Amino acid sequence: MDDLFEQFMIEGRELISKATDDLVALEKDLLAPGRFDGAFRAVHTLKGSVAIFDLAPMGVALHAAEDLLETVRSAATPMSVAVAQRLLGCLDQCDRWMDVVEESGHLPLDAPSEAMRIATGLLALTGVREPATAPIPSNQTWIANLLERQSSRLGDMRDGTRALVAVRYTPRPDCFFAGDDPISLVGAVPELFALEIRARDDWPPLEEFDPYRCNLLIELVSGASEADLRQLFRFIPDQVEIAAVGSLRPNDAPGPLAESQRTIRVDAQQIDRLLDLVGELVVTKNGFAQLAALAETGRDPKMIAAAIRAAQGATDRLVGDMHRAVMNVRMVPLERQFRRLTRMVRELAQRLDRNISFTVEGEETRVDKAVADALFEPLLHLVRNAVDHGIEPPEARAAAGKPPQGHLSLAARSLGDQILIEICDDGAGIDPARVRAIAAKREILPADRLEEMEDEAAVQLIFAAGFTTASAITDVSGRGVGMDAVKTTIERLGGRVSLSSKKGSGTAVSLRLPATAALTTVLIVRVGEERFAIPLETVVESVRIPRSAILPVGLGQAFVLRDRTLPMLELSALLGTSATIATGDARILVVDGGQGRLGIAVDDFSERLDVMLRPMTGLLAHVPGVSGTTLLGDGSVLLILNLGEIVG
Amino acid sequence: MTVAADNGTVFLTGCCGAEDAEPLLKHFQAGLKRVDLGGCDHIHGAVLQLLMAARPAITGEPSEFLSSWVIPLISGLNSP
Repeated sequence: MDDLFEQFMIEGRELISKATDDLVALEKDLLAPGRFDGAFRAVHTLKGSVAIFDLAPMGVALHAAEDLLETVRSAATPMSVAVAQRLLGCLDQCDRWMDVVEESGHLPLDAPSEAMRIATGLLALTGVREPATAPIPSNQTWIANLLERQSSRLGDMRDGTRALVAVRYTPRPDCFFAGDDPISLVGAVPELFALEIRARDDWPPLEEFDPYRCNLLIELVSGASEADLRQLFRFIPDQVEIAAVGSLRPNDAPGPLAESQRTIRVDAQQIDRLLDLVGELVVTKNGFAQLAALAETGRDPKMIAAAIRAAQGATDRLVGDMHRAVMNVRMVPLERQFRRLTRMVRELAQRLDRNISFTVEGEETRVDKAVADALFEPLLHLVRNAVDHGIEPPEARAAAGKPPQGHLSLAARSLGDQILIEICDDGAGIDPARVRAIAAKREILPADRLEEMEDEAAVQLIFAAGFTTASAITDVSGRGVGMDAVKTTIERLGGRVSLSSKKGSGTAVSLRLPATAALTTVLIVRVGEERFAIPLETVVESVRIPRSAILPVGLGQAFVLRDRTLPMLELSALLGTSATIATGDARILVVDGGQGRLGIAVDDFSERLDVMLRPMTGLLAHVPGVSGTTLLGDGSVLLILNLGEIVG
Repeated sequence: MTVAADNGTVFLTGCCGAEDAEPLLKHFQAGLKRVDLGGCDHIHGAVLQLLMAARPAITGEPSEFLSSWVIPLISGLNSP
């Protein structure tokens, strides 16, 4: 059954994608050849597949879609942009439902009502009032109604921390004669949270009452497992419906947890490659036993050292190869993220009444799964900004002499082991004057500096922390820009954001980041008793200077390096750790701060290492000043510092 | 006796099984409108549905499961 389901997931998405393609083409050209038939076939096939699985609401929606397409085909309804758009809306919802089914195995609780809404909307275009489709089986609606009625009692239990199970027990009228006692059964339900007992039919008057005819309808909510409950009701499975209560989150909540897929599809060839590498690693490992034997014979230490180095070199190479091979396994195409973005742009554009042509390129570009997951939110932000603040409403575009349809493009491509993603729009662009005004109001820079800045440089200020350009906070993009959040996320992934914009012409944002979780070279430094790692790429140089060369300047310190005076800060002070008494030469890392170079004094430099930077997760994810952690050979954890954030 | 009538009130005590439904119905048909559940540990589904249909006034403290979950149903507090 699982295989069949997997097959359905793949085919279903392909069919939705095909139908969507065709409808988008029809939206542009109502008579585009072949497109109508293509959409019709895809919807028809999809409707058929859905019927095999327990996805009745989706079936209802697709049935209505097919009905609408049928009336268009028979010329009873003219093909129109409205028809195409409504069908696209239906397919978008089906796509979202596929996402939910993939995660949780069943449709969300509001699927039946949502399906009815879609079906009614589709059929309204044909002139048919009531959807003449099969009634949606009640199994989903009773659960929703039960939860609603019991919401105060269930209260905070519904938010996903407790898995709940809903049971509907409809005893047969003659169940008493079978020796059943529904009340005993209910009394035996573990972890009962809510119970409702009603009359199935109206009670007869007492004179005609048959006490041995069971007329009860029982619904309850329990915290026990489905399995336990099925066990309890095992003798009467035909009289009970048991269902796990699904998540009540809104459909498209792009929460990071909701997004990460729990499994990846892997090409068998990649596993074979890994196996080969493991084989070679085993051979190298065996070599160490021989080296040890060699050392015991007391031969010339230099020779032994040379042999050990050779083994280390071979291991090094193999580890690198394995790292690359595993990273390759984790690579996924950006296609899934791009697909969601396409849906969102379509909805947004409709909601805000913008005429936008959204093109996507390079969705087959592969990146590490973690990178793909992390990229979604920044991309969403950038795309929303472009639709909301970039592309102008039709009247404004006409007034500016621009073609009525705005262009938004999202393109990704690989550049070596990096990827480049560009989001371009031909909208209103960013107004440097407005940026300057807001930067002044938010006191990001002093007024005179703002004045003397070039326009291109001024526009970059939107990346500054605490910046917002939307005068009204729209519910679409929240705070207008949030570019500082985008910048932070991309930089945490080891990448860079850049932006260029021309007022009146449009904006282009590019993201460049490593496609994989690369190995980072770090420099280990000691501050007091503790060690920290500093990414080597942030260090311009490291110097040792005598203490006497450090000069007090105002409240701080400075030193001279090759005829330039640089400010100096103590890392211990920046981190808030205790400073050790300074003796001997000062050891200083020269780094590039936001406003020129400065020196950061540490107690000592240690080795350079290649490490895998693991970003912080959960509560620690947004701790400033720390890019991540890594494990050292001795098992200790090393914090990798983000000097840019520490210096501020 | 699990079903007993006294002074206009039906007393249900101990474990009321399916066989108690008929006597109870007879009491209700005779016009009794009060039921005391003090000391009642369990009522069979047949007895419960009679109580739901007849809607008598309930007094007394039955066992915990009954008082937390079942009695409110009879008094109609939980009707949808």
